[in-house]
Amino acid sequence: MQFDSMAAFISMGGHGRYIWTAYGLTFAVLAWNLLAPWLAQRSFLADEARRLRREEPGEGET
Amino acid sequence: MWNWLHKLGSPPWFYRMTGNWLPWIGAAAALLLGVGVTWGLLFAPQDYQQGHTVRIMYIHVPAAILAQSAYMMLAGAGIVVLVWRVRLADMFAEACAPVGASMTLVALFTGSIWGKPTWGTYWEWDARLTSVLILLFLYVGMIALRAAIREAEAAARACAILAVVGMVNIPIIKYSVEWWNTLHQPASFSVTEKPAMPPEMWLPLLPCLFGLYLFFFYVVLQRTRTTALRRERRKQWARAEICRQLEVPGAV
Repeated sequence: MQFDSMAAFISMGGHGRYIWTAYGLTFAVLAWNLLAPWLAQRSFLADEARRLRREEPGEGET
Repeated sequence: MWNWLHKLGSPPWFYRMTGNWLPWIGAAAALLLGVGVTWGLLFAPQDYQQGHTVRIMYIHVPAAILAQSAYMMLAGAGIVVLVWRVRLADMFAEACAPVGASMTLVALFTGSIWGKPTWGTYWEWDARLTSVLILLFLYVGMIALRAAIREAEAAARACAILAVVGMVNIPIIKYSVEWWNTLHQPASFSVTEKPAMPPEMWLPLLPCLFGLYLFFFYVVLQRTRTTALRRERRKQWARAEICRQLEVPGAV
């Protein structure tokens, strides 16, 4: 362990803002990478559900 | 071998197999990244000159390696598209572009933030930085090109050609630090030599690097799967899969 207190860990010897901004931005980009395919899959399935209902009236709900 | 490659090129087989692999890839990525980042932030020693800012290395270096690696995969897929016309290769290429672009963005962002305390500037038009910026433009250009061409086959070929031509930038990025007198330091790591930094400093890079690779495959495979389903939605296997996911009886 390189730090003896939480405050030391956050301040990182005065360079905290650089390190935490870099890690924060990276985290945000990774989170977008996880979210985007999930949303794309969901919206594709929603489109397909609509298409199936249109093409096969009488089957499924309304 | 050929049989296996043939199967790998078949979207239904790809869809089924990756469905089994994805949870494992995702879990391994989370584990490795968790270990690597914790190790790098809390336990790795600080640099005698840079102090704690050296911890940015644990995300900057893996992101930069992956940004180039993803481009090489994209160009490899481009060759497969141009020579063998494998549909799946183009689906993979389409999935690679935005993820590769985001990795390039991370490499540029973290490098720029790291540059401020170490070099005294966020940006310099130095050969390494500029060639990586060109890599980002190549990725963005590829995404725009695909969006601009309506006909799928033509879009696939155009993107494949751009990907293959853009490969010239990869050796430029690699050797930029040797050919030109750059602010960016030359490579600290090579396959053949021992790194100049102590092991306790570079060891955390390994879980970060492998973790990010697995993360990359996790999200790219997921994108490829959705693209495969979308492009093949008129085919029997995709219809059956869509009906299964929507929980409707069907599979007409």
